[in-house]
Amino acid sequence: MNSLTFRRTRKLRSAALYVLLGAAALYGYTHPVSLMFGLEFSFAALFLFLTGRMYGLSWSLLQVLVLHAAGYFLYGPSIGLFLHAAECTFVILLCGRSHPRDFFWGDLLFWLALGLPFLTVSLWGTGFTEVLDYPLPYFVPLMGGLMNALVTELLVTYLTLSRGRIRLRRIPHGKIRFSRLLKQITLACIFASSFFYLLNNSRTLERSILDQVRKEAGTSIRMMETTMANWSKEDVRGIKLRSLLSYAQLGQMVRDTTLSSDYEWALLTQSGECLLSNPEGGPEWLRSGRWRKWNLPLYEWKPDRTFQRVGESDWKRNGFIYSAEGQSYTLYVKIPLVKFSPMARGMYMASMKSFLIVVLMLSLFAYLVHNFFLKTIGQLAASTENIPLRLKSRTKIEWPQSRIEEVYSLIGNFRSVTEKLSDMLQDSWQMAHYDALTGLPNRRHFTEHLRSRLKKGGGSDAHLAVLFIDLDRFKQINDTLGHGIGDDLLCQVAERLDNELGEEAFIARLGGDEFVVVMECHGERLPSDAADRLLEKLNHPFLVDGHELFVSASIGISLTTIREEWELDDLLKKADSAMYDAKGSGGNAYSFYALDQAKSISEQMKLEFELRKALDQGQMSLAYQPIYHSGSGQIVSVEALLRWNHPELGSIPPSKFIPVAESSGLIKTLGEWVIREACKQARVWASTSTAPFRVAVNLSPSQFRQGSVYRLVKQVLEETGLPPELLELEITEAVVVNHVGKVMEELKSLRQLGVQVWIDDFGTGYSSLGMLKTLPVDGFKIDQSFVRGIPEDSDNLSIVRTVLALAESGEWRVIAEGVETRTESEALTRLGCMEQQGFLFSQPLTPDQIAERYVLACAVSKEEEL
Amino acid sequence: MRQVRWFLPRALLLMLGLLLLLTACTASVETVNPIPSLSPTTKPSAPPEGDRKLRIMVPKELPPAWQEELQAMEEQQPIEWLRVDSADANAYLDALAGSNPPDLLLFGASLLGELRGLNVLEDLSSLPYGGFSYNHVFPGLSLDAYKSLDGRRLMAFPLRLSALVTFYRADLVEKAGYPKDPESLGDRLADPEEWVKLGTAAKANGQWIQEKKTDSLDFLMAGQGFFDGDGTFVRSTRELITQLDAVQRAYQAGTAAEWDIGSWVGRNALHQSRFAMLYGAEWKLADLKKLDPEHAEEWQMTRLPFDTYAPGDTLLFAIPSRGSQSEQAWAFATAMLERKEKGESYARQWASRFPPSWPTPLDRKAEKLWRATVSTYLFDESKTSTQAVATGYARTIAELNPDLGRLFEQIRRSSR
Repeated sequence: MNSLTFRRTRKLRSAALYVLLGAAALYGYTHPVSLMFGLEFSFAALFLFLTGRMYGLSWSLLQVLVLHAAGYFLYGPSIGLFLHAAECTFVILLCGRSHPRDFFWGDLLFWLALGLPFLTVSLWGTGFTEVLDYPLPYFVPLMGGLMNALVTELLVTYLTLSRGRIRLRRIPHGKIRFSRLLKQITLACIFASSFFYLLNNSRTLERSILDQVRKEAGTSIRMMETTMANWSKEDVRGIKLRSLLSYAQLGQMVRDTTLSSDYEWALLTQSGECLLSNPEGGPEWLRSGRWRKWNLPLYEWKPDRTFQRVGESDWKRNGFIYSAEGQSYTLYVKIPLVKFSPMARGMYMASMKSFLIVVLMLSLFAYLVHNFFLKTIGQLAASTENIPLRLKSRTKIEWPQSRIEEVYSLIGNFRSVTEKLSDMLQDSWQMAHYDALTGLPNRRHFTEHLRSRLKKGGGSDAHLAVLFIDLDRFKQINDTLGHGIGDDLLCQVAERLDNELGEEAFIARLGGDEFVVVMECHGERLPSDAADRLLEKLNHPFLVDGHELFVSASIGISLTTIREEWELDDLLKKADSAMYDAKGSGGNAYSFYALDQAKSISEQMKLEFELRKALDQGQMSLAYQPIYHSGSGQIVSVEALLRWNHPELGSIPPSKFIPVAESSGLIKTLGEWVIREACKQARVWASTSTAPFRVAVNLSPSQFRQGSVYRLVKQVLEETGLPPELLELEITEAVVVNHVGKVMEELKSLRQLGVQVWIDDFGTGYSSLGMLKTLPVDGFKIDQSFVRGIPEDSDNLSIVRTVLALAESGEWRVIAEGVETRTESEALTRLGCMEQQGFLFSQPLTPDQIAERYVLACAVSKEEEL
Repeated sequence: MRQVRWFLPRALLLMLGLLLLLTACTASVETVNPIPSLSPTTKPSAPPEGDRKLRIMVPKELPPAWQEELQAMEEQQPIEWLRVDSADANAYLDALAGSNPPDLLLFGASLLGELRGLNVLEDLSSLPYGGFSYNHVFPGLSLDAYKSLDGRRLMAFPLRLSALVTFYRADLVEKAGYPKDPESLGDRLADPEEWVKLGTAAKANGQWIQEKKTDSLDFLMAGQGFFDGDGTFVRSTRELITQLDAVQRAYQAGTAAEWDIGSWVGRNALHQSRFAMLYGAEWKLADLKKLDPEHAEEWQMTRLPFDTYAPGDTLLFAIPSRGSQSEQAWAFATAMLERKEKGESYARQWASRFPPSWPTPLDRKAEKLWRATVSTYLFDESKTSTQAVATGYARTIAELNPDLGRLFEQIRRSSR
């Protein structure tokens, strides 16, 4: 269907619907629902209201005009017609398409403001003064109008009315507002019940009246016809002469044969000449009126319509007419309807009372439902709206009260669920915003706090400082003493931080051993002071699970006066960078962020990138530092040391790239490459040397976490052909402390393979002596920090002595690292530590240098010996 | 929710359909008026121009002078006289109820009661008649008696009227000790006691002052009805009791001859000067003088005793609504009215003094009852006039009811 055809079809539909509504209105007007005594319900207004809502003002008023013009020509002018037209016009103007207000209230407004006053004046004009005794002439038009408006409102609410069609409305979101539904149901019940009650009573009354009329008429007709048959010649002559006496006698006969003295009657000849009548001159029904046949010879009679009628307000002239025949005369008698008005009035007043009772009951019911149920439900709905948001904002929820058990239970359930949800949200919030270990705010909380501080702004001279705190050597503590000890240590550190700065700063734990402090700086309150205080506090030893631990920290400080959200990440990065600066300076210090630190950060990122290419591009190499026997002066082994010679950046120290490799996961590949390369080189040396020496390779703790070292070593040995006896593996204390069971198995397997296992940097890892006894290792390498300064440094001397004594008892060998002076070497030799390593003996050498100095030389000397 | 969404619109549509059904079911079916088309009162068609005669119903008994006047009217237009007995009300009523009623009714006052209750006579006060314009014919005469019972229509008008008077022999009256001058005698006899004394004195002289014992009752009640317009019985007044007491005593005194002067005995008595006083319509004086030519000069007339004025013979006319020549009838009547009556009558002089009368259709019946009762009581020496009046009242009313009640109820309704 193209758009033109569609538009035409739509227009045709619209026009057809308009005509149909008009026709329905005309039908409703010409076929009112008749109640007794001329009271009528007309549904014409219903269709006019619908037109008003669907077709706009002009078309609606045109329809109102046409309908009432038709009414004018059909039934003549009347007050009722005018009132009906006024009602329709008023309501359409007030609630039509351009102002879609509630029809019911619009119509009620019309009746209160215009309709009832006008009706009062009109009815008084017709002589109706029995408002209090008989309010139906008020009640019926009012109720009819309101009922039309209510039905219209229901239709426009629950039907989709468009000019093209009428169809059932899809209620938005499938929801119905119960208060509105309750109002509409209540009103519909009131009007429907009263309407049908009135209608039913009218029918009952009508039947009752008809029965009475039939009985009375039947009896009267028999008596009259008997009397008329017995009229004498003089009686007939008197009638012919319209004698007053005959008139009186005839009137008496009518009175005697009927139940009232007020009936109108007329005696007619067969030719239609009215001889005598009451009232004289002939009743109006002889000449005019509307007749309705019930059954012969009984008719219902209504007067012609008059201008002053409101509906059939002149019903008092209505009546039932029957006839009796006798001696060529016909006597017509009218039983006035007004005779039954006391009965009708009584019944209608009873109906009115019932109606009022129904209204009261329904209103009470609606009130109770609204007050005790709907209002509470509404309050409950309001209270439970956006509960998560309210709980989050910690807004107090006002719970409604109810005496209704079910509602009370519902409220209780809501309250219980909400309280539980609140607890869960609280827990969740706590978990989301606080560190479970230390109880300090976590990274998220810190981010939100910092963001809020940045958003909130501050004094113009106030700096916002972020102190990034990282514990020095915490990793070693964690690796050597275990995570349990490390966690306890973190808790104590957090407690000290909180005690020191808790009231003046925001302290959070970002993760691991990283803490952060956010503080406002103004006046004498300087971040450097805070950093000093923190460092001083942290320098006091911590007692954790019987261990006295010494911890220092590196603190990076960044400051900003720019209170913008975008500063957040930058501020933290700067503090982090400054922290690295402090750590680079040896730790236990603080450092402010400087501009060139930004460069360092980007360098690290670049380093990681370059590291990934380094192996492939052959930038990595191994250097080997010899380990001598101080007694013989012979080399016993070499320690493979990784070197990175970048083509652009030059030589990069391991202290720079090893952490990058650790953090980026490259350490596994790097470690494998080192073992494989060292073994290859050792195999070469071994194949040419007559006095082969071992090669030592450092293993990272992460290598143990990431796979089987045993399998790797065995594979590499098989690949390279290096005898296992020529391979030493150096591990730190952290390896065995953190992975006791698994590492033990690995180490045992390696030793069974023939590979020697050494503990590197012994003395720095807090490994217990008890545990050391069970370690499947061949010896220890004493950390250079214990070697430094002996024999003058008595502490180090005693430590070395103790280690040597321990080694002796366990038949372990000991190597001293970092021997730089001859005094140190001699002292170590005296103590029994014969294997030594350090710059005193040799710098790390290239493989060629090693080969030249120790392999080829050894081979030459051997040949010379031979 | 889905059920609610579907239930509400369906319920609404159902309700709408129900409402339309209700309007259809309650639509009333009107029928045409079952009463035959009303036809106005039908009048017989007027006869052709050549055969046109005014049909006048007239009493057989009329004063000769009046008869002559009527006869004389034939010179102006053809008249068909329908002569009936003046006392025969049925003849009039049958004629009126018949298919061809007379064009004009001429009748006596005794028929007024019946005719006033009918609604078949033209209203002479309305156009084109204008009967009130002839009030001057009988100045001061109350026309209430000629109006319909509801007082709305003037249904009859007097054509001729005579007064009821006292005839007396001046010589005999003088002999009884009373003045023979009419005026003086009328004044003396205004007192009922004087009339009784005159009767007693005349009796002592061998003369009577009444033909029959009821003469005095007749002239006392002449021209009077039984009820007034409110339905009140008017014949039970104290004054009437006094008057009837005089009538009773006069009777007891033997003042009545009990002979009719029309009879042979009565005429002899008249000649023998045994009647000192007689009563009748004024035109009868001439007849009386003819009957007693020897004393013609002595017979004179004066007003009635007891200070009573009453109409004697009366000729009234009425025009039936269904008459075919109403205009001609009216023309006839007006011609009669405009025709000068011969001589100056007492009726014209005393018209304003005639007692108010309010005849009803029940008067004829009432007259019989009342007169029978009162006569019986009055002329029974053991009864008093008070008893006569009271009993007459009680019996009459009892006998007339319930028609009496209905009649006046109807009159009240019709008068509203």
